[in-house]
Formats: sequence, structure tokens, C-alpha cells
Amino acid sequence: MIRFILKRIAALIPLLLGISFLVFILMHLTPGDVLSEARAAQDIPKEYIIQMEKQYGLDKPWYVQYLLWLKSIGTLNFGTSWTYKIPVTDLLAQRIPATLTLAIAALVFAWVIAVPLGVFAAIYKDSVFDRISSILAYAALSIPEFFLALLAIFFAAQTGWFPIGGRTALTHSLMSSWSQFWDIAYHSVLPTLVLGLGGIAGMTRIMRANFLDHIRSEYVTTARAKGVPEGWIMFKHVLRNAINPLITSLGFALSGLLSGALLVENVMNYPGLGQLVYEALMKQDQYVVMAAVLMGCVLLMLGNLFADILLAWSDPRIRSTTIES
Amino acid sequence: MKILLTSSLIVSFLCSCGKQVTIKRENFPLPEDVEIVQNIEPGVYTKDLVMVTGHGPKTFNSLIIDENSSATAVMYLFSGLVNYDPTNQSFTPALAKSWEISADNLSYKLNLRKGVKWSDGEPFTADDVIFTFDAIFDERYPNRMKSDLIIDGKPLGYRKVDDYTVEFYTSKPYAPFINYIGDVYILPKHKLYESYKDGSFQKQWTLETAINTPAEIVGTGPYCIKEFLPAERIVYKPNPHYWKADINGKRLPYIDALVYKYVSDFNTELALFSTGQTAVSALPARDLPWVSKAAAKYNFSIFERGPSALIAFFWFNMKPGKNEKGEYYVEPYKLKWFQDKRFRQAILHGVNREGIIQATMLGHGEPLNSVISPANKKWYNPNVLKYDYDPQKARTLLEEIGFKINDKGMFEDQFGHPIEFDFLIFEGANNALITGIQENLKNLGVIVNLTYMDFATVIDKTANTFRYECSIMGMGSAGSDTGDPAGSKAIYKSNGRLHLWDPEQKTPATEWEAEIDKLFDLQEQEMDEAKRVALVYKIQEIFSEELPLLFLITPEVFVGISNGWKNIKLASMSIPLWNIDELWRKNK
Repeated sequence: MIRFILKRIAALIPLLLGISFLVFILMHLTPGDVLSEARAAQDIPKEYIIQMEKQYGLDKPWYVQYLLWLKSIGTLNFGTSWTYKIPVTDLLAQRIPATLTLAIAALVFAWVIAVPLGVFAAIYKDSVFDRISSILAYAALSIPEFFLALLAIFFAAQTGWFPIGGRTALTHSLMSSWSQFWDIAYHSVLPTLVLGLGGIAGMTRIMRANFLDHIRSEYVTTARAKGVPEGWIMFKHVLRNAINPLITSLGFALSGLLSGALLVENVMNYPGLGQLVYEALMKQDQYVVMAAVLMGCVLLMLGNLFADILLAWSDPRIRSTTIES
Repeated sequence: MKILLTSSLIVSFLCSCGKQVTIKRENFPLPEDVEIVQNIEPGVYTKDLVMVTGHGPKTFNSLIIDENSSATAVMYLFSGLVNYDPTNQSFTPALAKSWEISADNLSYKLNLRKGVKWSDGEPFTADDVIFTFDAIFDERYPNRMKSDLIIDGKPLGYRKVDDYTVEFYTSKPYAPFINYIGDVYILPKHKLYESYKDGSFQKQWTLETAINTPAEIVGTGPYCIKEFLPAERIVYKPNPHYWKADINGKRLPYIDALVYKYVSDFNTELALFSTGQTAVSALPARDLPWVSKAAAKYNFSIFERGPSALIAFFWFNMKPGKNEKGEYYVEPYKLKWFQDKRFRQAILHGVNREGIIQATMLGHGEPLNSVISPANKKWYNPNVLKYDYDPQKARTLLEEIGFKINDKGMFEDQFGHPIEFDFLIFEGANNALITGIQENLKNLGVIVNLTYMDFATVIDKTANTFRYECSIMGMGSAGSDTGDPAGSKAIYKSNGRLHLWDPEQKTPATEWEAEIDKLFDLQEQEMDEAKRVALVYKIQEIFSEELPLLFLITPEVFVGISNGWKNIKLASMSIPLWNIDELWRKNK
């Protein structure tokens, strides 16, 4: 088991190298750099721009820049943000908690709703409930997240039931820790809904399709013939078999949610990683973008690893083939 | 569980409403040289004011700032030596209570306010001023202020006369001097000298400082930082040592908690304002109809601030020659068109700017005809050449150059080249406007091909590789909103970086460019303001006659402000609430 985990982590290193190289080339090929904005401003002198180019190392060829970056990564130094003048790791650390709580809340929300919804849609196939849930799922799948976020803002503005964006109330720092917790929860309701809704729709459809596949399989007929209670068959045997693809998708879900959070955070001014990375990309703040890409990559790998372990736990067949060999 | 959750939400919502940000005012004696503000209605301390801005700051170190979000964040923390009143575009005393110019116009003696203290209680003296200028001129710390303070290749001289007097001197008379000196925020030597010496100056006063130890960031402005949450908001509290008071001896500012929320999406910003959650917002003309419906319910009013300070224009690439690869920057036959002023005039006569204003701005705007916006009343020349929509005149001008209408109804030159050019546009530019130009010119017989690219690419093509034919841009007023034309040097002068149509010329390519160069240098040395304005008028006349930039439209600017605020002084050349330290409102 430990060997398996170590092997997977070792496989990460060449992958990260490759991806960082690609991203670096892409950023180099993209026209403009972090100073583009300054270049277009009429009151910023040319001398200043030349001095800053030198300070940022932008006057060196890209491969030298990349090697210098690699060298500092070797000592676990992710560099200093050009726009913020503070270490990239500090900058990311400021934003990670907000985004992580949002992503996890959205994930939990999606699972709690999607799994039962898919199961019931499969058990009561072609019923009114199934039809309505399909229509809603297709509707939710076809609305882009940023538009949903705009609708949520509009909803909050019209009703006044929820805050219009943000993560904490103005008086947050004066609250007791208990009301601080509720304050954050209250502000997270709409972003969580917006971020989770797309996931629910997709997962419900997967769950339903898989469940239907397994209901028709021979072991279900056998169990029924033996007189096992219907509820026991459905929730003990079918569910456990049918949920595998969802567990696999869990590995991608977290990194997927992080990229979805980018748009939602921007519209709902939620102070997370998405906003920071988006701004860094637009401004070409190179080290911030590189660190964020590496982080996304590591998250994706860890998510997959976690999903594989979970899968092995849930499915004994997988345990014997992949992990112990 | 569900019921519990809902009720807790309601409870938490109620208690968060009940609490208020309260700020206790400390009572320190007013400084000896306190500025008693005369022309305002004295008021009472007011609870709070909430505003919105797009992005959070990148740093709080005023010396290294080169973009707007950080400039907005430090604006309330620091003071310069001289202030600027946008309502009458004049300079007013700040940390310097008065200044004298020597008879030869070469030295400026500034008398500093006595008894002023930094927000941590340390005294402010001439040493702080000297320290700030030392930092600006230090090779280790590149900044955008420095080159404005180098006059004719020689850096500005400065020395401390005594604790409350500093003297600046220049090698030749320099009219915008006070403009640039006043622009510099004075930094506290007692806080920053150590880092200045050991080379870590640029890494001081970062976001981390503002999050963890906001009291470390000390200034002489009306406010200090109370709380900073990145990407969320900044809350300011009054600087207990601020150097202004009202006629009753009450120390300014009146507002206890000044809050900026960071909202990057403009729709969200409008939603916040139109439901009464923020006190002020810029309102584009297209949103006026629906926003004004909410005005009565949420208790705000909409004001017209006059024309925008921005100038918008498109231009043709007039750079002659080839690049290193031997490619022409502009095809020679097209360059010949572009360099002909009649061609440029014809194009502008062919664009129905009034029509575009009616169609896209509900009539809230006017055609721009000068290189200075009409918002900049002090410098704007209203009597420059105007280009009304006149297709007949446009055709006459084109025929005069030698263009003929071909059998397809389009213009072509004597070699049979149809008049056709590529219009390079950055993503996010005003599409309705550009489509309008394209349609108008098509009717005239000129083909425009639109090419969309991202902003950085457009900058690269127009300022670096020069392989393009025509592009569009808008520019804000420079010189930190004083509107002094000296701030637009990079556009006006032929060796300027933003002399867009043919930048960084070794010697002026045309007579009129040489003339502008000459006038620009003259106005920089002209100490008599009326004469200086006359010289700038002349520059504008040449611009409008030669049309290197084809001016577009100046929109009218609207702002929404919640009701009840006193001492609001709107001016077209500034942010709406530029005099934040004087604002107050009756507490409910």
C-alpha cells in the first residue's frame, strides 16, 4: 500500500516538470508581459520600464528564466510575486482557506444531493420524479456557472435574503467566534449552490445510468430469486457496485471545482484563489501563475490517488489487482 | 436539522445587523500649524461610508506603485507637500503651508507645517521630506516619479534649510514643478530608513504588513488602516493626528469608518449600489434608466459630472521604413495615404460621431475635437477645428488627393489600390463604436477590416513591432488628475514613447511635429500661467488641424451618491468623493 502511494508520488515529478515547462513556454509565447499595462500608461517613463525588466529578469532569454526558476524550485522557493512583492507561497496561503472551504462545501453539497437523486431516479425509472429530475439536470448542465452566479447576485439583490457577494460581513471582526462561523456560512450559501449545481446535474445522470445497468445484471436476479429484501439489494449490493464511477470522478472533482471557482469567485467577489490566479494570468505575474498551475496539478494527482484508495476500499476486486501488485 | 440551520442563519443575520463598526476617537491637541478648512459646512462625526473598487491593492509602499488599485488604497494614508483642488484646478497647501518662488524662477522654498505628527505620534519634519526624495533618486529603487523630477537631464536639487523649511532648485525654469512636487507622498523616515539603507525598501509595507500589523503603515493622510482582508475589503479609521480641522476646531475627517469593498464584476458593483449597500458608484449612461428606478426606494440621487476626462481616438500608423527583417512597417503606398493630412481629415469627416452617441449612449456624450478633454477646463481649447459628419466634404477631400470611385462604388488610388485598411482592436474595446465607424466608412467608400486581439498584443504591435495599419485607444488624464499637460509629454513630443503614430523619432519627421516640440518646451518654461495656457491652446490647434489622432467621443459621466452627505463637491477632473475628509451626514 505504502509502496503504491510512493510510486504514484514519484510519478508526479516528471509530470510536474513537463507541465511547468509547457506553461513556461506558453507564457513566453503569449504576447506582452507583466509590464504591458505600464507600457500603455502615458505617465510612466521608459527608464522605469527598462529598470523593472532588468529587476524581473525579463531581459534574459526564456530558457535562462526557466532554469533559474527550476533552480529556486529545487530549494522549495517558489519565487516572489512581481506585482505583490511578497513570496508566492504567502500570497497563495492568504487565499487557499477561502477557496478550499468553498470547494469542499460544494462537493459535499453535490454528493449529498446527487447520489440519492440518481438512485431514486433509477429505481423509479420513467416516473414523474425521474422525468422532472432529468429536465432539471439538463437545465442545470446547460447554464454556465458565471451566468448562474449573475442570477444569484440578482436574486440576492432582489430579495435581500442573502448578501450580495463577499465572504464576511463588515462587522465580522467584532463578532464572537460562533457568530463568525455563521457569518461565513451565511455568505457561503449562494456561492456553494452556484458551484455545486452543475456537479449535481452531471453526477445524478451518471449515478442513474450506472444504477440502471446494475439493476439489470444477473446478480440482482439471483438475489431476488433467493428472496433478499428489495431495499437490501438496492442499497447494499447495487449501490456499492454502481458508485464506482462517481468515486473515480471525485479525483477530478476537486481540481474541477477549483477552476469553476475562478469564474464564480470573480462574479460573486468571493476572496479566493480563483480571483488571485485570474488576475495573475491577466497581468502575467509569472511566478504566481506557475505556482498555481503546479498546485492545481498536485491537487489533481492527490485527488486521483485518494479516489483510487477509496475505490480499493469500496471494491475488493480493485484492491487485489492494482494496489497489492 | 434543516429548521435549526435556517433559524441559526436568521439569528446570525440579526446579530450581524445589530452590531456596528464603532471607532473611538482619540483626543490629541491640534498641531500648531493646523489647517482650518473654511469653505465647508462644519459637521458631526459620522458612522461610516462604504464604497466599492474593482481590485485590491498590490502594495502599500507608495514609492513602488505603478497601477491604479494600489494608488487608490494609499490615497487616504499619505499627504503630499501640496494638494490640488479639482473644482477650480488650483494648488492648495498640504504638508507645506506655503511656498515661495525665487526671482530667477530657479528655486522654491517650501515652509512645512509645524507640529504635524505621523499617525503613530512621531513628529513630521524636513528630514522626512529629504528622506523621501533620497529614496526616489536612489538607483536601487526604480519608480515612476523619478524621471518627472529630472529636468533637462539634471535631477532636481533639494536641501533642508531648517527643520521646517526645504528648498528645491532646478537648472532652468520649470512650470509644472509644483505639480510634480505635490504629487509625491512624503514617507516616514523613522519607519523606513533602516530598510532604505539595507536595500529591502521595496519589500516594505506589503499586503502582509497590512494584514498582520496595519499600525506599522504610518502616514500623514486623513486615515490609517484598521483592517485589511485581501480581495475582500479594507477598513480605514481616522488618523488621530491629522492636520486639518473645521472652524469649530473639530479634527477632520468626519467619517469614522471608511470602507472599500473589492468587487471585480461591475454588475455586482451596480447591484450593491442600487440596493443601497454602497454610498457611491459611477453609472454608465446605458444603466441610468433602471438604476434611477431604485433611487427613491434606496435613497440615493444621480448627478451629472460633466464630460469624461478620458480621451478616446484611433490613429493610422505613420512609421516609415522597414524592420530588421526587411519588412515594411506599413506598405509604402498606404503610408503615403496615412501621411496625408487630408486623408485623415476625410476619414474623420466620414464618421458620424453624433449618430454613434445617439445610438450607443442615449445621447449622453459629445464628439471630441481636441487632444485635451473638455473636462479639463483650465487647459482645454474650445476653439479648435471641428469635424462634423460631412460625407460630401470627405469625398471632396479624397478626390483632391487623387482617389477615384471605382465601378463597385468604392474609392481607389491612381494605381487601383482600393482604400482598405486593417483596424487593430483590443478585446474589450467599445464594439458598438467601432462597428459604427466601419459602417460609416463603408458608406463613404472605404473598406475597414476589423482585427480583434488581446490588449497586450495590441500594445506589442503598436509600441514595439509597429506592424499594423490602424488602431484605437483611450487615455486617462495623467499628472495624477491635475490635468497638467506636462503629464502627456510621452504623447505630444516626437521623441515620446506614446507618440503613437510614429514614436521615438530621433528628429521630428514633419514641420508640425517640430512645431509641437518647440511649443511644448516653451510652455514647460513659461512661468506665467496665462501665457502657458495660450501655448497649450496652440498645441491643441495643431493637433486638431493635423489629426495624427482621430478623436472620437467624450461620454458624459454620471455618479450615484446616497442622500444626505454634506460638502460633496463634484468636479469632472477627479474621483467623485475626492474631499473625503470633509464629508459628513446626520447620524440616524
